[in-house]
Amino acid sequence: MQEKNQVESGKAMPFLVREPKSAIIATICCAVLAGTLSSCDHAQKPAPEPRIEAAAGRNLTGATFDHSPGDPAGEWRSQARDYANTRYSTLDQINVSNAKTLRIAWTFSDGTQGGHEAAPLVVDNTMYVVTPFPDVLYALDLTKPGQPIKWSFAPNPNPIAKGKACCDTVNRGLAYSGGKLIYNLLDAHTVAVDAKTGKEAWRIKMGNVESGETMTMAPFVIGNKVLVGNSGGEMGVWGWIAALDVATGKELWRAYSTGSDEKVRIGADFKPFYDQFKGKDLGISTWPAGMWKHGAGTVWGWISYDPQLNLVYYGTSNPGPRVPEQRPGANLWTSAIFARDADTGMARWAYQTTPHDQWDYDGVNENLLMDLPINGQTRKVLVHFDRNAYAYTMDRATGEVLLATPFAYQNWSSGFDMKTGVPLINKDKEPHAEIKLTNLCPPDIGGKDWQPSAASPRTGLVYAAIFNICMDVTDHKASYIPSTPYDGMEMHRYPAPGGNLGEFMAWNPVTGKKAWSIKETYMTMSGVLATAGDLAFYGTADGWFRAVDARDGKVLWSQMLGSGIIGQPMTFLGPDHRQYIAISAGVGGAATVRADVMAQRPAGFPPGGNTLYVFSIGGDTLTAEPGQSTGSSSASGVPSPTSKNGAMR
Amino acid sequence: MKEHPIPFVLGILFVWLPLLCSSCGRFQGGSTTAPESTRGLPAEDAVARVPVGQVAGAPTLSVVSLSIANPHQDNPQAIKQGHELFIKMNCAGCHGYNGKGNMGPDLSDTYWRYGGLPVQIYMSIRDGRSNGMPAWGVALPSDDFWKLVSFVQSLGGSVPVADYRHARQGDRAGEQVSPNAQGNAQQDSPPPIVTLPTIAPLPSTPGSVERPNPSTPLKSGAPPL
Amino acid sequence: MRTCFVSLSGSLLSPLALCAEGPMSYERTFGPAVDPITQLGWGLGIISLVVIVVITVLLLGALFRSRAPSADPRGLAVSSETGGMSWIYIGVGISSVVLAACMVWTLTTINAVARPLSSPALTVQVTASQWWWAARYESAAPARIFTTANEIHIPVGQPVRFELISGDVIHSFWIPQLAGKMDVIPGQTNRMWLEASRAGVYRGQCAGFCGVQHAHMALVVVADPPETFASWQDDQIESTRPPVTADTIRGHEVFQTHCAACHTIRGTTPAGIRGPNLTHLMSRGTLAAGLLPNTRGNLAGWIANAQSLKPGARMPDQNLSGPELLAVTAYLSTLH
Repeated sequence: MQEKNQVESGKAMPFLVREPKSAIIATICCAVLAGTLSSCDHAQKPAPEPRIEAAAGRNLTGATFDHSPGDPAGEWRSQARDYANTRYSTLDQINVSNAKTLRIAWTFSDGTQGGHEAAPLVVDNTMYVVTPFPDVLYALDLTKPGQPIKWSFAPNPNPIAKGKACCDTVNRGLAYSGGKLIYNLLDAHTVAVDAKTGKEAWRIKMGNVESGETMTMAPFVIGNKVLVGNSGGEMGVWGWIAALDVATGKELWRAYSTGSDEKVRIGADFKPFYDQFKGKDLGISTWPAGMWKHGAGTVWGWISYDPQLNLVYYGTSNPGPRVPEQRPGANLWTSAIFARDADTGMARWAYQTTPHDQWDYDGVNENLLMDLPINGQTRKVLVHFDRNAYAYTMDRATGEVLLATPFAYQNWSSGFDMKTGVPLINKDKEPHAEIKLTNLCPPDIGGKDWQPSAASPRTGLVYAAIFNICMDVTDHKASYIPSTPYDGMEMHRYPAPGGNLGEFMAWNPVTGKKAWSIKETYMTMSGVLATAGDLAFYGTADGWFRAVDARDGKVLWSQMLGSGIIGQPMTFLGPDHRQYIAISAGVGGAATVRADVMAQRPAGFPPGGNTLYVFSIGGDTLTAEPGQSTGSSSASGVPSPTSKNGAMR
Repeated sequence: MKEHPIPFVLGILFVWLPLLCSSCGRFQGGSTTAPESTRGLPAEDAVARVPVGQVAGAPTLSVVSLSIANPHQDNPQAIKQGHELFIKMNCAGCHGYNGKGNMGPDLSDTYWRYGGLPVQIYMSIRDGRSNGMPAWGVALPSDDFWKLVSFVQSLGGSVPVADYRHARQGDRAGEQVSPNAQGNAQQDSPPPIVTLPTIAPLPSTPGSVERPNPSTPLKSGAPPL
Repeated sequence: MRTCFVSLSGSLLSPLALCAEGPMSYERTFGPAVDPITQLGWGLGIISLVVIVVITVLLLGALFRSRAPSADPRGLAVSSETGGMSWIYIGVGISSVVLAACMVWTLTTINAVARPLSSPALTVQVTASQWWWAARYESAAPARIFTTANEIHIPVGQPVRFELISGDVIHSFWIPQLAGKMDVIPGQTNRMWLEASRAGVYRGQCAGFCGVQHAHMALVVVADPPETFASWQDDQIESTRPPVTADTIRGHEVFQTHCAACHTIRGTTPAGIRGPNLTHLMSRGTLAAGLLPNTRGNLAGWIANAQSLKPGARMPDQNLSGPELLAVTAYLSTLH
């Protein structure tokens, strides 16, 4: 355990605003929860642990959030919990004062191989867990001791998909809407399952798995629409995002990432901030003749939504092939952030984070929507940690870059031109075909990969698990042969200066500086959870799950789990009114699949796993006496009580 | 006595004439070596008898096709060309540039999902496999498949063809065998080994196979259709 | 004596006269990147010839000059020579002047062809591979970048920059009537320029031995008037249209399964880069890097029997049935 706390603290922060936020949040919570009896019971109960009043409202940046859609505080209905992608929970039973007593309450093993990247959902005292390929969905009854399986749903996707997914056979999670669980199958289908019965409501083929198209991202629900996108940026597929009708699965619109303005859904409303994004059919004219057709720009990351502006935000992947010499030009709209009208899918603005992406720095990472005081006025911004190692604070209404500063070690760029919104490129870090380029930082997986960050309105900071990695790369020109990789990057990754591969940081999006950070020997490729207990949770690729004081980065609690962690932690309130924290341990994904390097899998690195761990204070949970039934009466999937960990005290 | 001037003049001519004539552009570069061909490769119908999995009743004959040798095995030229194909046909994108696996399985070890004998690797390339390996079918000539197999063999993966009978049961050649291990075998004595006729490896230099050169009539613009 | 000189000069000059019109002749050239070199070559050749003639005359004169019988009875003693130093002074003097003049001329020529008078408006990236040439036309507008093979069109009277890269081994890019040779070396980009002063078709050839089919690694440079070139360029940028007739549709299917892993036809899905880009195959004059005239018959023969026509080439014989061969040839014949 290598922990170094670099505490810059809030002393130097110019926007040290003190607001009684907790009171406001508590009020909102109670109002929102009015419909949910159990939750409200809890909210009215006196808090079991003393609140940390000292820190309450000590917001370092003045950031505020819109917590729409206002899901019940005790539930976790979407991967990011809210439209703004904060992954922030108002639960505070588990807090800085008692985090050290966290113990395993129960676990659930799903038996699959592959990286476990999804967070489970909790709706109506049922937990929903989706596995990596074969994408089995389990419903666990939280009201019964032993959390038995209520039902399970096996979609049986095509096994061909296993050989097409670039970075392991992962699934990044479920979406819930209107009594349906919606998720993507690796073989490029989207499926909706009735949450009560576990029966398939609809299934729609969205892409062609045989040509290398897969789907791994978590769908994103806005009202009666669900947004999905494809994966396969390494396979030369044509990237897109699509909106489906939640009730029927009917496709409402689809917007591609390259091609004509019509295909990209760019119309009269498109008002990008920077000149290089203005013009007709840039999705064609910024590519050599015809190459946009297999130019990738897939949408495999996270989506956020601003209900006031009615805009959705998401990023597109690297261009194909990854060998830049084969595709001179800016290669729009790959490695870019889009803002689109949620109803029509028409683009409002776009911004390419890495023009003519030469290093596989996709733009797919999450966009956190925050309201920040900048230069004396409150700006509606999005905060985006790009794989290219720049952290962007952008005006989310216009697409203007307000701040772009590196958050991880990088040497590909010598600076950022704020006037044109373009990063300045170090010429000697541009790869040329068949010539080995050494010491390029960050590597293809970036200064931070897809693993989503979290933000707390109590501290105003953003928390992210980032990388400290470099690579040597040799490009080989690639043919586009459908069903095979359209890639050409031969890589060797190794730690950047410092020797640590991972780091967990708190980021000030107003100043563009780290508030504090914790260095980790192994990759930190887990999502982050922030809670009102002033805790931030994250995991490491070698299996440590940690709770950190969100204010100063002090590690309060660590637990070694059965496999490396690349999942996303979440929290919920059980039917017993206890707060639980859940995380999947099952290393995989880019943390191991594209390793090509021993530094990431040294001796002692854990093998894959498939266990969901659920923690509570003291490990308390529902218990059952011997002989007492724990099974569910549901027809499908009655597990043996002995197959799962029971109560642990 | 006196030197005669003729050798001197001839000397000048010998130096100049080749230089001048080289610029004439009349040379046709008449390479008359015969092409690489499918001759010398195992017959496709023999390859077609390779079982995908176990054979019910384990009849000897059908399994013998497993002993088909790679005609290019250990041929450095074929290994080099196989390596080239491995990169240019995007194999490296899945199996790693060093063949140690990436999206696709490691090819440099002795663990094989679909069999590690040369002919089984050949079939995996030609026919594809159900977990995402595409079938190269007619996209490449069978000669190229064997070159790819040569490259894979050069990585140290695969199972030597001589071990084909052992490989059927996951054994290693020369390993210790319990005297009672054959207790469940159908026969007391091992079945007779029937191998296909040994196929001579192709020479390393392409083009040294005897073959008439039919290029002349085609160059005149009247190819047989 | 006279006969001897006539026959000598005739032997030396007749090959020049014979060869001056050949497609690979460098005695007559047609561009500012090479004309000064040609003049220099001729000039140095003529000077050399004159020197040879003069030296030969002197040598023969010395050989045939009868010596006075020696007074020394032994006849072998070498007496100290007192005269004739002036021959040496004059000879060395003339040689020095001529050599110095040649050097000045050479340096002037090198300087003259080092760079074009105006900055080239067009850049072509040529990739040499065993045994063919890919040419990518660069442009500031990415959508006007396209790739073709083995036939390079250039506008007359305009300098064109060439960037030379190798796909495998060392090659040498040589269009003798337009520019001097430039080696193509793996791992680096060599740059040169050329300009055609006269419209026409110029043959080029790999000039560095690069393997078994080195001799069949030719290319054609077509110098067009600027308007013709512009329309050619526009045509090349166009993608192909999907096939419409039954046989071309079938031929397209055959192409996808048998050919597309290596060849690109823009407008169809696969895009192999191992072999030449075939998008506008029918606009080219030759097949297989200058091996065959591009006729439908030759095309079918090449597809069916490439290894007989160009043994060792990366193009394999295709085991196509007769109807398949006809269909794919019909499809390829539509790619104008």
